Amino acid sequence: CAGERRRPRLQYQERAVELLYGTGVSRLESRRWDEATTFFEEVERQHPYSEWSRRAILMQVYAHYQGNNYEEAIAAADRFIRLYPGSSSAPYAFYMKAICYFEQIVDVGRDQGVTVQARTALQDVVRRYPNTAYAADARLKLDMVADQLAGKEMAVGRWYQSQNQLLAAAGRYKHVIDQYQTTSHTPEALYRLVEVYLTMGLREEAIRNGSVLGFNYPGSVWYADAYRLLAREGARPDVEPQAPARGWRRFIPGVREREQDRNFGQASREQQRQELVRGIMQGGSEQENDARDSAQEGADESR
Amino acid sequence: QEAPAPAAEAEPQPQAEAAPQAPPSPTVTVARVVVRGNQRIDTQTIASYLPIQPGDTVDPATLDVALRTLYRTDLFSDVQIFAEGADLVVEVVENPVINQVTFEGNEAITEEKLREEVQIRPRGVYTRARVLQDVQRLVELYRRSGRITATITPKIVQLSQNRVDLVFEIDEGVATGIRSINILGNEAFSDRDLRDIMVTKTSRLWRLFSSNDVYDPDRLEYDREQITKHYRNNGYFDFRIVSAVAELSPDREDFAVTMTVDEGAQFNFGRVTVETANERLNPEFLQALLPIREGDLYQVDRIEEAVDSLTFAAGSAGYAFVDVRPEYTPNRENNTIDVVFHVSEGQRVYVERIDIVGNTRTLDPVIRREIMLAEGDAFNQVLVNRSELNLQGLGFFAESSIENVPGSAPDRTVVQVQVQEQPTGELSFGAGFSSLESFVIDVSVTERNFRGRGQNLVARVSYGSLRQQIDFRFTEPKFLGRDLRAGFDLYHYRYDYSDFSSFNWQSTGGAVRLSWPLNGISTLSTRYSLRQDEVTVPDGYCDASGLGSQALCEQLGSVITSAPGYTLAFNATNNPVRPTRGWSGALRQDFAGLGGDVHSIRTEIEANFYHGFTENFVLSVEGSLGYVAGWSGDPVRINDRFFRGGSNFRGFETAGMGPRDLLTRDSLGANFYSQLTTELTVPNGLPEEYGVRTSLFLDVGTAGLLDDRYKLLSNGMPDPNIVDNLGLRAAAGLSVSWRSPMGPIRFDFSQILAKEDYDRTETFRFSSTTPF
Amino acid sequence: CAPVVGRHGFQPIDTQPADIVVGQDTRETVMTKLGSPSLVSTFEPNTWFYISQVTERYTYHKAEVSQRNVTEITFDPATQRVLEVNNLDLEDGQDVGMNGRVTPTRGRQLTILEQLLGNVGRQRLPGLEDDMVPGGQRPRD
Repeated sequence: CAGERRRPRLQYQERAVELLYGTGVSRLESRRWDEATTFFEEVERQHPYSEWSRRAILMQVYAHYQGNNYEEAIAAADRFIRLYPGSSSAPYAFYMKAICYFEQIVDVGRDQGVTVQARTALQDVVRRYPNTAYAADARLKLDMVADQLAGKEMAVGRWYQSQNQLLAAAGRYKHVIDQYQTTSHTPEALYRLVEVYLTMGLREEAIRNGSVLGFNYPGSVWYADAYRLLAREGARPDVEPQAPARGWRRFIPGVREREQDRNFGQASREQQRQELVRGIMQGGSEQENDARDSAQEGADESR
Repeated sequence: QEAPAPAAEAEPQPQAEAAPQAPPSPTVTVARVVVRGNQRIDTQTIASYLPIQPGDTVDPATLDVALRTLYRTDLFSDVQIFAEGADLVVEVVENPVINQVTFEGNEAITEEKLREEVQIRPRGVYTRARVLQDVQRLVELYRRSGRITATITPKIVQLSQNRVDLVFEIDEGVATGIRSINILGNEAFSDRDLRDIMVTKTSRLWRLFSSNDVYDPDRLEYDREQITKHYRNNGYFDFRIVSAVAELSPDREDFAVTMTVDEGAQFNFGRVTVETANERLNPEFLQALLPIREGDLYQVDRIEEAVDSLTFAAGSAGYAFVDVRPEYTPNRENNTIDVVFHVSEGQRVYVERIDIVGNTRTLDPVIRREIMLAEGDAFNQVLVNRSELNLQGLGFFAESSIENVPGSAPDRTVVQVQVQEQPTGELSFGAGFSSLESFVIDVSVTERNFRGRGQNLVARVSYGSLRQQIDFRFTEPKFLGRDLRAGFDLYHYRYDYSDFSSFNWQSTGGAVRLSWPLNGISTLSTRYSLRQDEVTVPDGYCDASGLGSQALCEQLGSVITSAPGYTLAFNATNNPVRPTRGWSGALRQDFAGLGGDVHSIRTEIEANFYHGFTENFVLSVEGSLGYVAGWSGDPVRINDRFFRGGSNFRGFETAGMGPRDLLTRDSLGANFYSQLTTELTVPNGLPEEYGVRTSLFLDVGTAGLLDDRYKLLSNGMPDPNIVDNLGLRAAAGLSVSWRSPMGPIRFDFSQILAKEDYDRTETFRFSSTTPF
Repeated sequence: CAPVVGRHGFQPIDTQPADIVVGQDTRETVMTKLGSPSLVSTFEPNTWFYISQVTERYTYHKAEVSQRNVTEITFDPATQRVLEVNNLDLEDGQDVGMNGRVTPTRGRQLTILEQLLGNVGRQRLPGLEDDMVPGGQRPRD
């Protein structure tokens, strides 16, 4: 019963473009995404040269995205980018492509192939349109993507460490410190290195890593643990840990919020999607009228 | 009727009055860029592709670059760039847009399959190059399904607004079957043996569904390799295929394949030595590891095994970077080959990273723990090959491969593990009919990779006239990250034995189990099971007036059995599923009595030997022995005894043999049984793909021994109606097993050779055993 | 019965890491003798580590590290000569338990149904499919 979803098949007969486009938009409002995409595809197929088909491809991106079929949304965005790289809606297409990849990111236990694609797409948005709202959101998402990739490295490192493969684990943790210093995993990577080096008996190296952790993340709970480990070693690192309040002190109002925003706000998926993506609809309406007027002008000119 | 120029942004169209002048002087400064002929793509887009801005100086080189970039966008069928006074004019003709893609003339292959193969899509841009590529793909598709002579011509139907309909006109030609395959120059192996090895088959009626009976050059090439390998594995060092040719018959209906071979002499191994420049590796030690002895038949697989074992030995002795090269010196007089294995120091390469790609469901550690290398280790190809076998053993992946990708430094490599997941879960509904259970409905959920952690989960409900069963099983293959299989089962069985022994038995319980490998061929598994059994009889059966057998009536009611147990299993066969060589055995013991009401020790021993004369003639001899005895004064309860007959002893009904109460004609089960089954699989002429195997069998054995208490009347005198003796029973016959889509089904036709007069026999049995 | 022996990390060929002579060997000679280091210190590029380890695993027990030698070689940044060679083996190490805390990560988890049944209702037909190795081979059961 997980078979192919049959989309309503419109016969291949020619219909006025405004009618097709209008029905498509009404389907969108009534959240019937599949039907909406079919109508917009018809607009593009029957009137490929009209201003409408440019708008229709954008609408397809939006409808597929809302219907959660990410591959088609990305394909439609790519088609728009190839045909209209210079158009004013190109940033929107690039942004939607990045969002489609971003929302398919899976947990760290599995292949992060999509995460890497999301990173390239987000970097595209930031590089091409640096000062747009899209780029601002893309920068935030880029941090999350880097965090996810760092999380994968840490997961593998921890597994190797649990299997007594210390060299392999140290390699992974060092990789996180070299490639992903700005992510939330760096303190833990430094702490794990302290653990690994102490297990191997390399006290100076452990102390070196511990002091870097203390210097950069004095407030981190990881430094508190590292400090205790190293203190037991009789090597008292110079920086005192100001670990966050433990136990009951966590319930004092100020303290909890600081913890909260340290690991980036988890905007709920639904709210986040509406906020940015609705841009197309409002934006859409004024662009719609100028599309309708230009079609009108075109018609006057040829008369 | 020319379409109205649409977009408002389009430049006002200057009338091109003057014909373009002579080709522009080498360098021209461009005042303005004018784009003409574009309909769908707006001017701004085309300008953005051009590396030329107004005000640049232009020379033929930049013009050429501009031309090429525009062509590479695949959007234009023709582009002209020339100067008109100070303007640079870009004249484009856009590629049409595809409205529909249709296929005509296809019968052998459905439109669905054709559409999958074709890349060009409606609403995409039409380019000649892409259409020709698709035509090539379709020709390849037809060739693979045996229609060599198929031809495909693309047709274009012009539509308004520069749109086209694309039609693929297909002339499928005739299916080129294979009339005959004959092989010349072969003495060692008969035509029939060689044809069995080949994949290409002659077209026969019953091969309607298989696509192997159509001519395909690739497949023939593959057959050549198979046959060469077969000869090389049987001593024919000089074997070569002179020619393998397929001639089309005059009526172009089918092909005749003729293959001429030159076998050469059969060789044995001569002196086999190991030479190494590295002093620390002593050749004698390595020599002993070689799986080849002087005088053995020359076999190319043995050479590979030898290289493998040498590399692995050197690796585990601490020499990771070892390169083993065999060198052959055949001498034709006494047909022997001397082989020298040169062990030299290979290149020092370390594994920088192990990346696992493609695991969309299985978790990373479940795969990583199967890889026998860790990051930072020395690279060792043998360990990589064994890791690949481990991955395939998991059964979670349609494909799995391990490749090396150059690392960040010359002496570093990245090992990339590529997997492609396949569905590992099954929700299956089964309905079966067997002479034993009249009708069985079976619903089962199986997941071999639960939660992507490699865990195995089975939940099953089965309802039949003889047995109703609810079963739940869970197994973790690597418990606590170790090589330890741990699991637990919960079950509720209800047996209605009224046809055989007029009692019903209900058992509800569970078990926890733990098993681990002892060495290469043996595994030890321990278990603890706790269950509640209830035996009920039809009411009135056991009253004073009733004629119930005393052995039965004494055991009504429910009882708790709590039994730890173990199984020591050995398997030294060449193929666990269908062994044709080697032996296997098991010792099972359960000690009921750790608490609970039942005190008994149940022991079963089994030993099987297999010998395949050829691939089709396989002789298997299976011996088994079972004994259960009560202790601390308890008798053996009826549901703990052995019921022989039916599927475990052909020729006899279920529980058809062993102690019986003549009065009530109930089978009472036996405390002891022994059996020897000899079975010879014989070829049945049906092609392998149908999975039908026939075998002749001879079952010989006995079952008997009952606690004395059940043999006496209430007054202590022996009860004449209880018959129990360890007489010899034997039956022979034919057994046909068929691997049908609904699961394996077996038909047994048997003839009784020896039995006790009170045993119950049957001549035909049909049963479907869904493996569980 | 015999354990399964695993050799991990750096594999010395002729010279052992311990044979490196302080003051004499330079960064190049160490590179030629031993090959590139298993690990370079995170923040101190002049400290190289050569780590090798032997693990033994008996039937179901966890793989135990039976032998580990770690060699720390520090170079004088100016002269690139070996300043100090420090050899450690299993006894010098100590058992530091792994900290249980994990930094949280995002990503869509598999839903229960997806985990349980990747493919609801798909019946696996044994052996009759035709997608085989080049041009097809007898289906292996």
